[in-house]
Amino acid sequence: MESAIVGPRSTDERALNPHRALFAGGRNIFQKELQEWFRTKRFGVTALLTSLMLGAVPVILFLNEGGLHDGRINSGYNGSMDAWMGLTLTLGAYLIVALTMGMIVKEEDAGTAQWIFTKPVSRKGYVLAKYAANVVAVVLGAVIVPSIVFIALTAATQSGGIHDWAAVAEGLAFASLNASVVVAIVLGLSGVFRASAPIAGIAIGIGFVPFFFDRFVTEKVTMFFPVNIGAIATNAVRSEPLTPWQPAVSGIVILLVAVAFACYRIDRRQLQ
Amino acid sequence: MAAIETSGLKKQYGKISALRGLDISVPRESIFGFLGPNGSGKTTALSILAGLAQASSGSACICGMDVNTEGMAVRERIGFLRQDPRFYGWMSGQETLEFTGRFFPLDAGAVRRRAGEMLELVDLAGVANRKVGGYSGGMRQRLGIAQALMGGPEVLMLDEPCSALDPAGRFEVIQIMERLRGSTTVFYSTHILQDVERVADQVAIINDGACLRQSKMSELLASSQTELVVEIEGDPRAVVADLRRQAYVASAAAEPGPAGLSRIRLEVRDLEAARGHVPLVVVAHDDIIFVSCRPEQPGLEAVFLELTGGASGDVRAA
Repeated sequence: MESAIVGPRSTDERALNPHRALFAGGRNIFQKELQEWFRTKRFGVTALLTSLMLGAVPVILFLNEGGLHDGRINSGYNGSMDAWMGLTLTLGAYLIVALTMGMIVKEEDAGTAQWIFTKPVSRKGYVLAKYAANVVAVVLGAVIVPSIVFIALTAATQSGGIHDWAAVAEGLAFASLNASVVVAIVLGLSGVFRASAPIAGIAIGIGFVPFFFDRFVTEKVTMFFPVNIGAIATNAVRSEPLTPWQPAVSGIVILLVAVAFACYRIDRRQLQ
Repeated sequence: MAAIETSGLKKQYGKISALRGLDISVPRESIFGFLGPNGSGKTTALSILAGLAQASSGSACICGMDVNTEGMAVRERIGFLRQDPRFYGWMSGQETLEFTGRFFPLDAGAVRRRAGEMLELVDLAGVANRKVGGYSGGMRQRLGIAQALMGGPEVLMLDEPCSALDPAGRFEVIQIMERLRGSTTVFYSTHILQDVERVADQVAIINDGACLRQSKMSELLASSQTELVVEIEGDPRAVVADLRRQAYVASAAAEPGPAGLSRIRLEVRDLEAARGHVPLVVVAHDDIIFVSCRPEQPGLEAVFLELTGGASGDVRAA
């Protein structure tokens, strides 16, 4: 092999390719992260698990309603919709925490983060790319795919099928927002802790905070807890008004703050 | 301008000082051995230079750029291999190198081509499409060298590149370094002294977070030559007694030499004076035939032990 192969690139070559400093390497990390979801078993297992959970809902309701009439369930549409959103927003959130709690710390433990950080990569770009890729994967795997299964089964078994497709789309949008907020909270906690256990524990614990606070503060205040995004999503799929609006706004604010905090902390993290 | 320059570099972990004012200067296009026992601060220094950790105080520059304030530009010019490198087990070797190459301003074709060349270079072309999770430690180490070279670095920094390799693997790594001589600065930490002696132009010996000595390899070895070996034919006792009376001689002892010769080993205070005068002392004895007088090469191991005060529990001569 000629030594030219292993020699340095010329200064001219570097000068011709000025690097984007702020989010350098972000696209590469984003693509890698998505590949990791889809090429390992992670996405498949997630989609299968959530589909089984949500696919079971119409079956349970079918049995609860006492069987078929003319081959269809004649009642319980709203109950079915409530159960779908309830499962997607609560069990789905726990699953999302479990799936994403290692997105930063696992790489640091394995040493792959240290490998990447010695390349011309912006750590902010790294954090944002990881966040974006994980949101895409969990929204697809834990919200969209199981919802397609649920909607297909509901359309096939419910008398009258899906009553309001626009309402279903709105519900899915709020469920996706909820998933994005959960991933952002996990990311923010990854900026503080360097082990998965406290990240998972606190992220799940945050979901119970309103139960403690509703004794001490008014409903006006508890409405701002993003865990109440579920209430908007449920109203949406029932074709009812999109209220309360507060948890959606606070969810977006928390999302932005958590991601910015993670960028700040991980940018300054000392590694060896 | 030096390839790497550190000045008063300190790193504190709580109450522990990992670096206590490290000063080194690595000339461009040299092969520089960074030598020290375990826990001496080698990996900490490399982590700071590679942008993984921040110094508590002092400065570190690579190609004239501050690693702290111009980190992105610095990392575009370096290749770095960690001790015990880790990669994504689900990627193949080829994919790992292409993933690495995409961080640098190279087009897709150049990335693919370079990845193939690097795999050839480190003798992994045959397993290019095998998942890295199935690679042995030695294969991973070689892949680590390949990924460090992907960006065409001006400065290649290797942390213990040979520690996980068998003798054949070590030889290959040394050959790669030899191939880079004159075009790329190679800065590598190691505790395998034989490899340093074989390939390094310059060496820095550190212990306890500070640089004890930095110089060209030849100068380092020459400066520690305080022993002369004299070979004679005949009874050495009278010569040894005479030599012990010389001011430049600290000690003298006779021992049997090869082919019936006698060997006199001298610890000297002034090497140059001794080299000039010792033959005259010997030939003054009519019954003695003078054969040779040469300084003893102490080797890097002896120099290392002398400088570190014997802190060599983990240092291997081979």
